[in-house]
Amino acid sequence: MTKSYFCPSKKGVVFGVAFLVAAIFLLGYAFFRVYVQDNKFYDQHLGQNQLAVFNTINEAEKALLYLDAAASYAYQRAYADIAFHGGYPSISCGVYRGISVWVNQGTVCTPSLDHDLNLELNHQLDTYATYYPEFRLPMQNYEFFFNGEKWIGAAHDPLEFDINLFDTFVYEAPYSVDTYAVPKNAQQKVEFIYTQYKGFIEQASLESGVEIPWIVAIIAQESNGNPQVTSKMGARGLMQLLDETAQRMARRLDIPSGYNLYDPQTNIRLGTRYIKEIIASELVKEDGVVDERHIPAAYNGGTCNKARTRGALCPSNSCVGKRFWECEHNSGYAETRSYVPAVVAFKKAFQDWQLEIQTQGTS
Amino acid sequence: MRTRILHYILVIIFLLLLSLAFHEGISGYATFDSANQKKLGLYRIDPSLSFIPSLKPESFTQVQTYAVEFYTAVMSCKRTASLSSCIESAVSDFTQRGILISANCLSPAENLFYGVTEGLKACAASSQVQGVCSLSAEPSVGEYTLTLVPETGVEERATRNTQILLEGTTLSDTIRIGSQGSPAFVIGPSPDNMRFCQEAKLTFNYPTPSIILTAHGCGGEEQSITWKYSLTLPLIKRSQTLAFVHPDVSLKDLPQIPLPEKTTHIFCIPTTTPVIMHDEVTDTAQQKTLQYNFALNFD
Repeated sequence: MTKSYFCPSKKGVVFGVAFLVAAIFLLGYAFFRVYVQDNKFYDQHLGQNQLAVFNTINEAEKALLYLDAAASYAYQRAYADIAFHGGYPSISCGVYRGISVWVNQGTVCTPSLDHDLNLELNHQLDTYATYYPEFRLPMQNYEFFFNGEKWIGAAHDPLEFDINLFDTFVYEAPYSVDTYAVPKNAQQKVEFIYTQYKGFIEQASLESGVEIPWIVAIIAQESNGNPQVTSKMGARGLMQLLDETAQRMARRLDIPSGYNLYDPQTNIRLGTRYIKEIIASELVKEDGVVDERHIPAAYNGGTCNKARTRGALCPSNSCVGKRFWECEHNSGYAETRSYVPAVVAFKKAFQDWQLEIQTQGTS
Repeated sequence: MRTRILHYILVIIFLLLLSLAFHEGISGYATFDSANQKKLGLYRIDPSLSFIPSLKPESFTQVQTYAVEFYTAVMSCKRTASLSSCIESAVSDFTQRGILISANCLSPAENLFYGVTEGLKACAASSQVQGVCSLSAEPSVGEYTLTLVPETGVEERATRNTQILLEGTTLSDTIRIGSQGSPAFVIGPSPDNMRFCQEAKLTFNYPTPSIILTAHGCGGEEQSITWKYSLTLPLIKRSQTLAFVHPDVSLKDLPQIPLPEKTTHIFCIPTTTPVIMHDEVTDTAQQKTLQYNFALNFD
C-alpha cells in the first residue's frame, strides 16, 4: 500500500498540524516585525546619542556665554541703581524720597558696596535669567567679591541640562521658502509654458478646480515645459507622472488605457487631477488651514501611507511638529526640500506676471 | 519518496519563514526605544564667572567720605546759622574744592510730588486736631496732575486710605486724608460744608502759578476749585479728615497748624560717566550719566 499525502499516517497529521500552527505564527510575527521596522526606520539616526550629548554641551556653553556677558551689564546696572538710590535702604537711617539716608541724627549709615552689590547683582542676573527661559538657570546663585582687579562670582549651584534625545532633533530649517533655490529666469519660463500650453492648462484647471498657477509652476519645475522628458525613475511628460499615479488618475477621469503620457493635453489632465487630490487631502493642512508648501511636497514625495511610514506629509517623530519632508535629518526627502521652494517661486513668478498684465491692461 | 520530498520542501519553507521573522538579526541596525530613552542623562556645569568692572567701586567709597565730611561741615555751621544758609555755604565750599555736590538732584515732578505728599502727611500727623494747614508746593515748571482715589484692595472701608498718583510717572503714595479713603473738600460757604468724592485731580501749573482741583462722584455734578496765582493749598483738618477748601471760604476763625521745617535733604554728586539704564516710564533702555544720590538728616 502506498502512502498518499492526502491520506497521511497519524504521525503525518501531527506533523502537518504542528507545521501549520508554526507557519501561521511565523507569518504573523514576520508581518509584525516588518511593519514595526518600517516605523522604526524613520525614527532612528546613527550617532544620535552622541549628537544629543554634543548639542547639550553646546547649549550649556551658550548659557555660560550668556551669563558671562550678562554679568558685565548686570554689574553696570546694579552699580548705577545703587548709586542712584544711595545703596540698599539702611534700617537704622531710613529712606527719604526714595533715597537712602546716609547720616541721620549723627548716626553714619553709609552703605557697604560689597553687600549691596551682591544683592543687586544677583537680582539683576536673575532678571537676565528670566529672559532665557530655555534653561533652569538657578536664582540668587552667586557670591560676589572684588579681588582688587576683578569681580568674582562664585556659583552656589551648578547649571543642569537634560540630555534629551528628541529635543536635539528639533530645530528650525536654516532657510526660508523665499530665499532658497529660487529658479533662474522663473518668469520667462512660466511665460513660455503658459503661452505654449494655455488651452490645455485652462481646460484642466476648469475640470479640476485647481488654480492655474499651481499647474504652471509644477510643469516648470518638473519638465521645464518639455513634454518628451523621461526621468530615471520612469516619470514621463510635462508633469512627470509615474505609471502607477497616471493609471490611478486615468481611472478617476474615465480615460481608457492606452493613453500617451507624452501627449501634453493628457499629461496635464492627469497631473492636474493628482494636484486636486493632494489639495483635497487633510494632510496638507496645519491646524485646519492649508499650508501651501505641503502641496508641491506631496506632489514630489507623496502624501503619506496608512502606516505613516512613507510619504512627504507623514508627521515626523524625530522633528516634532514637522512633516517628513521638513525634517533635515530625513535624508530621503532632501530633493523635496529643494523642490518645494522652487515650485513656490515659480508660482509667485506666474502670479506676478499675471498681475503685471492686469495692471498694464487697466492703465 | 514523494512524501519525503514534500517534507523537505516544508522544512525549507519553515526555515525561510524563520529567517524572515528574524532577519533583523542578520542585517543589524542601531535601535532605541524612543518612549523609554527620551532622556539620556544630565549634564552639569559650574557657572562661576568673573569680570573686570566698568565702574570702579573706589569712587563709591570716595563719595561716602565726601558725604560724611559735608554733614560735619553743615552741622558745625548750623550752631550759628540757619540750615538752608549752612547747606548753601557747604555746597559752595565743596565746589571750590572741585567736588561738585548739589542739592538739586530730583526731577521737578519728583519735587512737586514729594512736596505735596509730605505736606499732607505732616498736616495729618500734627498733634493739633482742628485747624488749617497751608501746604506750599515746590515751584516746578510745567503742568503736573495728581490723582487722588480711594485705596483699592482694602476690604474694610473704614480703614481705606487715599492713594495719590502723579500722572505720567510711577510715583504714588497712600495717605490717610479722608473718610473711607475718599478725598474730601469744602465748597463753602462754611467750613462745615464738607463733601467726600470718589476721585479728585489736582493740577499744578508753573511759572504762571495756579492750582485747579476737579472732583467727581461727590453726589452731584463735577466740582471744581481754582486757586489762581498761588501754589499754596489751604487744608482744613477736622479730626482725622483733611479737606481742600474753596478760596471763598473764610478761614480766619480757625487756628493755623504749623508744618515742621524740613530737616532731611537729598544731595548728589553728578558725573559724566555714561551708563545704560532702564527707564520705567518709557520701558526702554536709555543712556544716562551716573549720579550718586544720598540723603542727610540734619536734625
